[in-house]
Amino acid sequence: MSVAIPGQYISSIYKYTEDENSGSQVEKYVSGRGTTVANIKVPENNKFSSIPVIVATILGKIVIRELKSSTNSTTGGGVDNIKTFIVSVVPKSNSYLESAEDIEGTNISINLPQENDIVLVRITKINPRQAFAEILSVESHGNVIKDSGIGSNGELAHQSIAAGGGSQNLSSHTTIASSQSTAINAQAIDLGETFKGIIRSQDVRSTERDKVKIIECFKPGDIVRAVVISLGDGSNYYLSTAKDDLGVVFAKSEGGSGGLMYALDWQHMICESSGIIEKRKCAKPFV
Amino acid sequence: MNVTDRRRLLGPSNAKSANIPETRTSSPSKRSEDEIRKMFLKTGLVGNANGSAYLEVDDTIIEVSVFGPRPIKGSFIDRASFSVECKFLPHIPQPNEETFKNQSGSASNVRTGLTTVEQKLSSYIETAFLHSIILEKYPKSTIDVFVTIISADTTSSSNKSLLNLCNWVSNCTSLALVDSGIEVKDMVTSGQVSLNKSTNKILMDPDYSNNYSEDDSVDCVCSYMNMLNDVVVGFWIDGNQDDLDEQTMQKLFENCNGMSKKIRSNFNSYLRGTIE
Amino acid sequence: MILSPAERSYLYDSLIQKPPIRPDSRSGHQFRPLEAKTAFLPSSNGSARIRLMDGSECIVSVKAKVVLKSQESSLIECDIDVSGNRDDSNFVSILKFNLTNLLCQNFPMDVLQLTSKYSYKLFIDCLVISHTSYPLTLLSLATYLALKTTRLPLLVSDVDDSEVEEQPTFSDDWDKSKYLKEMVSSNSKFQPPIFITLGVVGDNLLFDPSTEEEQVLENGLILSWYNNKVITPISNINLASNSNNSNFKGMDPILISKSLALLKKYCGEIVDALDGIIEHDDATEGGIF
Repeated sequence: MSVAIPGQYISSIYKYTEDENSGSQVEKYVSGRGTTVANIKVPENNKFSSIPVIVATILGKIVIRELKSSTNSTTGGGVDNIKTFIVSVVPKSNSYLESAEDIEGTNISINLPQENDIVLVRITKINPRQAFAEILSVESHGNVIKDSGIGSNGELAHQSIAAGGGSQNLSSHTTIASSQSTAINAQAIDLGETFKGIIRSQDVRSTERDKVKIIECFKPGDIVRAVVISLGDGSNYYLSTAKDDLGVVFAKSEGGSGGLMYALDWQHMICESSGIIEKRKCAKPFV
Repeated sequence: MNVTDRRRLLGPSNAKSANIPETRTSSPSKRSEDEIRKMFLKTGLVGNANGSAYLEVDDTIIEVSVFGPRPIKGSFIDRASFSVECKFLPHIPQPNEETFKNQSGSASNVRTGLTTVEQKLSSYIETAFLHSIILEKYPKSTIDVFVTIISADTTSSSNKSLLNLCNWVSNCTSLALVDSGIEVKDMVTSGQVSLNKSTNKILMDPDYSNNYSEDDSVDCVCSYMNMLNDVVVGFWIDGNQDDLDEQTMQKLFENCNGMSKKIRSNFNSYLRGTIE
Repeated sequence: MILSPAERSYLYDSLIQKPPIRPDSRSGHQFRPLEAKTAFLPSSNGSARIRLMDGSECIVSVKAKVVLKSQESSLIECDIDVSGNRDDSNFVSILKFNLTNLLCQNFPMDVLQLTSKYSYKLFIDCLVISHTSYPLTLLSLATYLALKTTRLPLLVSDVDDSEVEEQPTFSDDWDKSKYLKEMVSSNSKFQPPIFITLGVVGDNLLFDPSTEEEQVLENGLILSWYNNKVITPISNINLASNSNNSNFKGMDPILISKSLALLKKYCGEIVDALDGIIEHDDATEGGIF
């Protein structure tokens, strides 16, 4: 695996090779994570023509994988053999690459959730209409972002920081810092806080959606597997657990003071030490 | 040797002083005109930031930390917002600060915001990096760059040392961004040259502290994305040029590009070293 | 001001045509129409007010003070106030930096000399009452008009006071006061430096981009013009502040050379037009607008 530096050309979009054994072959390259497609100008007959090239956007190692499912059905133009490759750049911090060679997608150091991503969240507070959560990690990609400053609240809070200490804004965009690109109402949140999500009561399950009681589905502190259904508004992602394999994966009884609980069925969990049964919307443990 | 001095422990009377060869005052090393000063780089020094870089060139010491993408409050934005804040450490004299300080303002030495010089520096960096960062990849978030100038060569009374500082700050910011893992279209590197009008000679990365005749030159700092068709993302020409023609401009840009490419190749090999 | 994606795309596509099709049907090198009034503030040495058709308005006042040369680092001080923006905000600071930098480097300081010890110091106060597009050109043109109509009282005491302790005295008669332009030693014209903002879209360069055009520009240039020459400082800037302009990108250095040629071609006319305003203004005594 060779090293790529941001801006480095990795491959053109198409490559055409002619081989005695396999005949003519077209290789198609798709830009994956850590890469983008840039139009690079090349001098040609005293003029400039631009060709699309896949370039690296982060520092890391180049990984080129063949997409197995590529169809050979496109028989127009006389080319019968198209191979598709996905080109990505994997940073040094990646831990997935060593453990699983062909894990779907690759993790880069910053993984903002997108629509249809499965995320692990921690419930922070609930009300009758919705449960609020903070997003911990994106499945198969890794943590949303590494530590970006220690604050006193949120997932990245540090116990050495007193409440309110160290969590003020770094700068005020509208007044001090140079920020020509910012919409004037964008405001950075406190240090240490991470991206937030909402599970609305109608998104908890797919049946009897109008009869959902949030208190019987989630409690603050639960770790929940959910899917991102929308980027939502400025503050929250919109999440859903309306699938068998989504829901609470990790919970403690009696509001966190009791022991670890295990799922009995899709809406009950039992505490292994006290035998208390509590209501949750559980994820199916074995998919 | 005074033997009557009893308050000190004296050596033996027949002592000979050691023969220390005369220390030669090291003359400033002669650089050729297209040579860049040696620099020291280090990335990832600030543990609390998402990315950071540290750069030393002669008396100029710069530290840049990148925070982000961090979530925002307020209404939805589909691209990350990007902000830059440059600050000189309080005891560092700022280049040309006499001209830009607000004399009519209160004379208190309490500083609330940034000075005008710091604002200009921040704006230059922001304009230069705005195109480079793929802001579309980070909706609902902010990317904040904090530049601290720990030491700067500010012997020149004109804007020229500010131009040189712009050059090194933008280079250092580029490294910090790469270190943070934020996706960029290409690294931004800069070059700064000075064109002497009377001799028509180009001086790369001029050192303004060394008896530099500054009245007769036009200076240019220019930031490029060298791998992306050599586009200019930021530039600033200043100096006592009373008529700027296209040839001069082209010459300045060509040489800035040359310096930018040299810095880029240095950065490339440094970054390659950090990952292998 | 934020345009919808469809509006942005429409505007961008029309600006990138050759020649560009601008929403207000201007050609690439045309300024927006403006009206101006000079010398209307009774307590200032010079003043000017400019109003653009879109409602942007700027007032500049020039005041002079007699100072000891040895105690001043700079004989010009600019202060800018933009309504709706904090004085320590980046927006205002950059305007102030640019204007101060331009004037301090290029203003003919010898016209301010009084005696061997004393000199005038000019305080240029700019007030942007309202603006839609980036107000630097507006500010700079108003400053030009104000400086051109600045009158300073006539010095009656001795010019050489290096030996004597004497403060300069001035004539009481305001009719004897002199315009700055009459005090220029050489017979060259007194034309203070001005800033021109250019927008870059594709290969096109647009003079004085309007606020809608700023939203889709690929880059912005700030160039200075003085004595019929392009001078420094020159820099680039994102003209659309606080707008999330996704078109912003780098530019080919050839475009910057091209902008110099354009300025040489058209800037003379701009300055002549401004001088015309002053002459016209002198002839017609009347109210402000």
